Amino acid sequence: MRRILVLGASGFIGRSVVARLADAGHEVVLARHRASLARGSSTALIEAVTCDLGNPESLRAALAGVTAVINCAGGDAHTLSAGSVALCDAARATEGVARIVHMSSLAVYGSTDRHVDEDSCPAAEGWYANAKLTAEHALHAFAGGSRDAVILRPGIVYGPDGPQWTRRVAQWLRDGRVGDLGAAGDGRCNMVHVDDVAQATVAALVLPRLDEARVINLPGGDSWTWNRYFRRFSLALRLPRLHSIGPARLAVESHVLAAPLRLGTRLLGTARAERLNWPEAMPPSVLRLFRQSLIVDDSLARAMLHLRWTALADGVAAVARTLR
Amino acid sequence: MSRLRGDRIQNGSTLQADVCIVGAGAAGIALARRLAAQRISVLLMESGVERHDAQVQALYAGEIAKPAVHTPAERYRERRLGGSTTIWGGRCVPFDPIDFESRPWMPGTDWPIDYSELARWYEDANELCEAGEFAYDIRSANLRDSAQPIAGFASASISDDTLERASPPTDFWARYGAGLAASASVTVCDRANCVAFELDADGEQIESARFLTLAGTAFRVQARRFVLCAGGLETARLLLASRGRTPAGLGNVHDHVGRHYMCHIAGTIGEVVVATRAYTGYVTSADGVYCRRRFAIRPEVQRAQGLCNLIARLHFPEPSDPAHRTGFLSAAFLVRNLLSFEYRIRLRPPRSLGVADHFAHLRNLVMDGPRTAVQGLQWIAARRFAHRRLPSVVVEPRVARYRIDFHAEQRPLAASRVTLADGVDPLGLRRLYIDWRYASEDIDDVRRGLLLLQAEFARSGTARFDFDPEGVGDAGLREGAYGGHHLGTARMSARPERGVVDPNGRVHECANLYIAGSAVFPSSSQANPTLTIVALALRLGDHLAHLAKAEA
Repeated sequence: MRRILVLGASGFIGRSVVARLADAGHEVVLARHRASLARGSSTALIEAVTCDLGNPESLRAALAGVTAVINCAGGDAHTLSAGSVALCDAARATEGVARIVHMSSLAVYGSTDRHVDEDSCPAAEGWYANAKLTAEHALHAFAGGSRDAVILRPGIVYGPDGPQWTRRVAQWLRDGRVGDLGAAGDGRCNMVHVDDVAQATVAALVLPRLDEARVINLPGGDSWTWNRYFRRFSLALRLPRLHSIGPARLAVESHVLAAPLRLGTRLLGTARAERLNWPEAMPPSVLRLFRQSLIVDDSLARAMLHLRWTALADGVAAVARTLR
Repeated sequence: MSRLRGDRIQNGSTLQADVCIVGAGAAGIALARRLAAQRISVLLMESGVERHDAQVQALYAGEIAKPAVHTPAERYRERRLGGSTTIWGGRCVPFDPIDFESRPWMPGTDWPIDYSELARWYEDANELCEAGEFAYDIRSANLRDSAQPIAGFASASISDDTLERASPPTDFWARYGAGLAASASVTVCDRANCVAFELDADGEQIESARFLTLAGTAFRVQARRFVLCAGGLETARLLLASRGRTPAGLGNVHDHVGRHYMCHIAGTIGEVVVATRAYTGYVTSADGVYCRRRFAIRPEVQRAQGLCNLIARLHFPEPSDPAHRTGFLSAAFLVRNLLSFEYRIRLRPPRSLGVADHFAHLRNLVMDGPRTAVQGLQWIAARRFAHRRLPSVVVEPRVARYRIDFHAEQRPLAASRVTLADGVDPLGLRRLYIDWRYASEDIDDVRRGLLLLQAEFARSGTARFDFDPEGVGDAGLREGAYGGHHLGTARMSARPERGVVDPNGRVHECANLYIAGSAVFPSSSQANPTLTIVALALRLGDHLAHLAKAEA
């Protein structure tokens, strides 16, 4: 049994990871930005601490007695990059932390169409991918000697309660804002179920020693286009009709509506915006994603982590049942 | 970016690729996309450009043995980027499992693969045709409204729960051209007319393909593999015009190239008076696709009675007969000469009309004026301006009388064939001579199928169907062979002596030449061919990718 610190434990991926860690019999320390109560199961093996990545003191306190760290913390560019750097620094200064499993993203490969595997060069574009890449650099610097790291790069993570790619997409479908996008939805969606990500995380934790920061892509096992995802999800949600969305509508979404919608969300605050059903913006970056065909080799994930991907058809059907 | 203009390629030069695809229509584009996803370098060669070009299209002109039963060779197919998907109606229907079986009463129709083999690619093909889910019966299709064609109809012999689904219709170049041109591994070359394949010294495989341009230049393409995707007619023309092991043409040692040419036996006939309630229109599935139910002869009945595969739909009444009292139909009939060729020949009156008939049509227009205006506007909105076009004209007649619209397979006949004519096109390639034939059994089968439909309508007590059994041949051939379905001229067979290509689509006597498209169909089915063309092209794409991987 090991003592594992999970950062971002109350987030979408973090919750799933914690549940699986507890199932696997690990002793889990939940690190949360604020002292909110953990949702879901609470067992004697789970203990919670309040930890702020911007505060080295609290970080060091949280790391006490921990053998490995799982970092699923989300946030803005600064939190993602500087937070990871701070975590690596603190972990290096703490006796006993042998491994960090870090949640990065396939976004580091940029927005062009290409085939990639773990040896391909990242080409981050935009704040999110750049912050993720900065964090990866910190992990590479951290690894060495008795310490190592596993950098997981999931694609589009979906699952029950998934905020962005499940709930938000469901709302977009209901509002007729996505549907059959034509050529604008021909990109490959690289969807991976949150359970698969959690399983990969736990498997990464127990890998034999690596002596480096090892990158592993988690693209999911099916090669659906976004159009197929929207269609299947809409059918699974039993929505009355899938809309055909032409290029003009999408141009209005990204060039006219996105900015005021985002401003509205900022003014209202995320929580209130959600309560008021304030529509979420569909920025140009998301529309670029719907077009992008990033074809990702998943053989390393299958070989090293022994993953068997949840079939997307089953995953989407199950998720839709929770939302109907 | 990878677009080339064939007429700017240096005269006498040679291009190289892993795979050279000849023809950028439904099959060629589907195949190129599939190969590009596997990073196989592709040269996609097309004769035409983005738009219809009369000079290019004229290269299709040919001679017709019996112009009364076959439309001109340059009609119903398009020599341009996107091929005939630029004009197709969008009707998507898969072949039925029975089509692949060995049916002794339909000699020569068995496929060397079975339905389940092709079914693996139908889903993706359906998606490429933008026809939504691969769901072709009312149970799986998520229809909000069951829209039974004749309310209350039930029969052990005739089903009415299978569907046709409608593509918007997808113009494959408009939809996928930009993606192909942006792909790092695909080069699209237009204005390039393939005129011959050239075998190597051993006669084992194609060394190069020869291309001519209307600008007068010539060049060659060398590739590891060639795929001919030029449509059911042009595929045969190119094979016949290329020198193979024998002077009879490439792949033609066993004299199958150009033979067994099939279309469909289709037409409208009779009068149906519905006792319950009729629905001739479409329903939109939950995934946003127009779907329509049709009558089909159940496979077990086809087997028991030795019938061909046939479907039927309720159709609006004969427009030229003013007795329908429906303004919209009268209007369409009166202005038929302003409509497109395809509409015009369907609106051609079966008999000559007198002055009184014309007056009756005008009366229909006046009496049914408001409804006609509304229907006209709806039709324009749904047919011209919608992204997903209403697939066909749907008119509920004021007098509830319908006709039966049937679409049936025909037997492959060795004597139904295309050959090379003596005349040549401006590039020097011999033109096609098209001698389409049908068997009297084909007409008999349609007659028996329609009699069965008649009996089942009567048995169920839901409708009465009157037709002249002797008029089936006239009805099926009034417009000639069903336009645009050019099938079977390079049929697929397990054994080389029975056909032109093997079950993978490779020409039996050539190690590196493949054919995708309706030319390889050994049977015609009740189904429209496009969906199956695309499925076979995707299957071939995966096969070629597999070969490439094995070699690497």
